[in-house]
Amino acid sequence: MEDIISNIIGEMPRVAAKNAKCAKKWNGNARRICLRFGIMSSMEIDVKSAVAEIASTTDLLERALKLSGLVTTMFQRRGFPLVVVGGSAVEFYTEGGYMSGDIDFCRRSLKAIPPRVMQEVIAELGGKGVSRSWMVCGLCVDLLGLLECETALPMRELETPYGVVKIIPPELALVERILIANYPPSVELAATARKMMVAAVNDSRFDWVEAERLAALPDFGVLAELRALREDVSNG
Amino acid sequence: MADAAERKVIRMTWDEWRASRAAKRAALAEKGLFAPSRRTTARPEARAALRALEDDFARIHP
Repeated sequence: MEDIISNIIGEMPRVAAKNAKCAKKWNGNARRICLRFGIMSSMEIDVKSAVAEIASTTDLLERALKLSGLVTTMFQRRGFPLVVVGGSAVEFYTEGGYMSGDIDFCRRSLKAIPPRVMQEVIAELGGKGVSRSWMVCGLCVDLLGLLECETALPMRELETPYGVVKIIPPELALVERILIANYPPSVELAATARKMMVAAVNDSRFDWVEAERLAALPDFGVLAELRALREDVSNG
Repeated sequence: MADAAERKVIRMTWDEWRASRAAKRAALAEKGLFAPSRRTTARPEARAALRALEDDFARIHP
């Protein structure tokens, strides 16, 4: 649905050039669709004001999520849906108890994002940097490749002031953290996995059946570690 | 797992998320785990690496 809406929004300027009256009606309809589905068109955002407001946000997790919303909206408008992955997702689930070094995005569509589009978006945001890594609003933004997601669970979503951010499911984030904490063993990463586990056991909507299925997959192979950590955190 | 794809999307509003933060932090603190680390981007080496990238870019594309 979002792809369709994005395409509709992308068509709007062309329609406007042909027939201003028709475009006005079209714009209104698209805006209503956006509101209905909680999608914000970057046409509705004053990007400069948004960047200034985000940059002045002192809480780093809030700043990161607002920026994630803005970046997601701007790529979505160009037809490229993004999802927040990796440490950035863990940061969201642990409420900043774990702080990632950057904001990691993957794209959700098979179609690759042209480098020109990336640079245009980042330039519009006043960002600096090259090759999929940029500094925007004092934060590092990394645009990785195509999303690899071993679960069919829906992404979690957060409505930020600048657009809806999609985040990999916590079940997948937890299993990933347990894997990298154990292979190879890392004290620092084990602490992060533990924080993610605390978030999971306190999340009433966390799907433990799916988390165990993921952990048991040969892709991860950490079912015993998942169960041990869950028991440890629950009893500790 | 068969119904996983059919599960409803879990979406939070900004206000809901902000309101939930204190409870989640408390849960971490209860386990002695709430000690937020600083973003690595705040570290001098990360800033230096970014500057080096920018310098490279400027050299290649003067």
